[in-house]
Amino acid sequence: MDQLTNYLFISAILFSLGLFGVMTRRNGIAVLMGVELILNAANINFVAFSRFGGMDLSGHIFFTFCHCLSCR
Amino acid sequence: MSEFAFWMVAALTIISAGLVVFSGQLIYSAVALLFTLLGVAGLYVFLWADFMAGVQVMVYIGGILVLIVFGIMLTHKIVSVKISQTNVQRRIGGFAAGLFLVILISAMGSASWFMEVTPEPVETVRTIGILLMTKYLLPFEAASLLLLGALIGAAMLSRKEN
Repeated sequence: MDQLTNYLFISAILFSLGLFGVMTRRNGIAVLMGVELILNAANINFVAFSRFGGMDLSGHIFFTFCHCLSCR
Repeated sequence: MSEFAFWMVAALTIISAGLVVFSGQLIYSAVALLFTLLGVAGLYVFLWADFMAGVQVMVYIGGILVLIVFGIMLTHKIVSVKISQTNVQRRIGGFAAGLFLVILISAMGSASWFMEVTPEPVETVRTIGILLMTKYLLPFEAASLLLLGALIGAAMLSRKEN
């Protein structure tokens, strides 16, 4: 659990599942769910790099903006 | 023990994400999405992002997921309980997504990451607030402008034409 690559691995799987959903679903709401999975994968990456990258909490700020825009 | 908890949370996230994508009924997908978002909130706790975990639960589960469920219930006939939906182009989509995953994982494995475990932050919310008001003030204002535009646009769209 103290490994950056673990989080990147989980997020990559989540992103691929979301991509598959966006490409194959026909219903608009189901496509939206795939987009949510992709956004969550990106957010995990932001927060993980914020913890392991040796910087301040800028990743959290990016996460906040991502949330704010994905609600639209 | 916490290692075990971490992998359980990761498994919950990924398995329910698979259900979201592969489930045949839309309402099951929505319920599985609830567990995916909960698992992601758990991952944030492991990443010492406590405020982010709370925001995830409140905004995503309390806002977006409820919106999606409303969308499902309002756009289909209520009487038809079985809201089924099918996947098209499974083979091409699966191939492309799988290829993307393989490329990502091989790139992640071969990269030499800059690893520096920062000390556990004592007060995340205070730091985020200070950053938002100093370093990231311009994006903050731009986001507020965008939200205002969305608000006006929604009011315009739902207005009755005269």
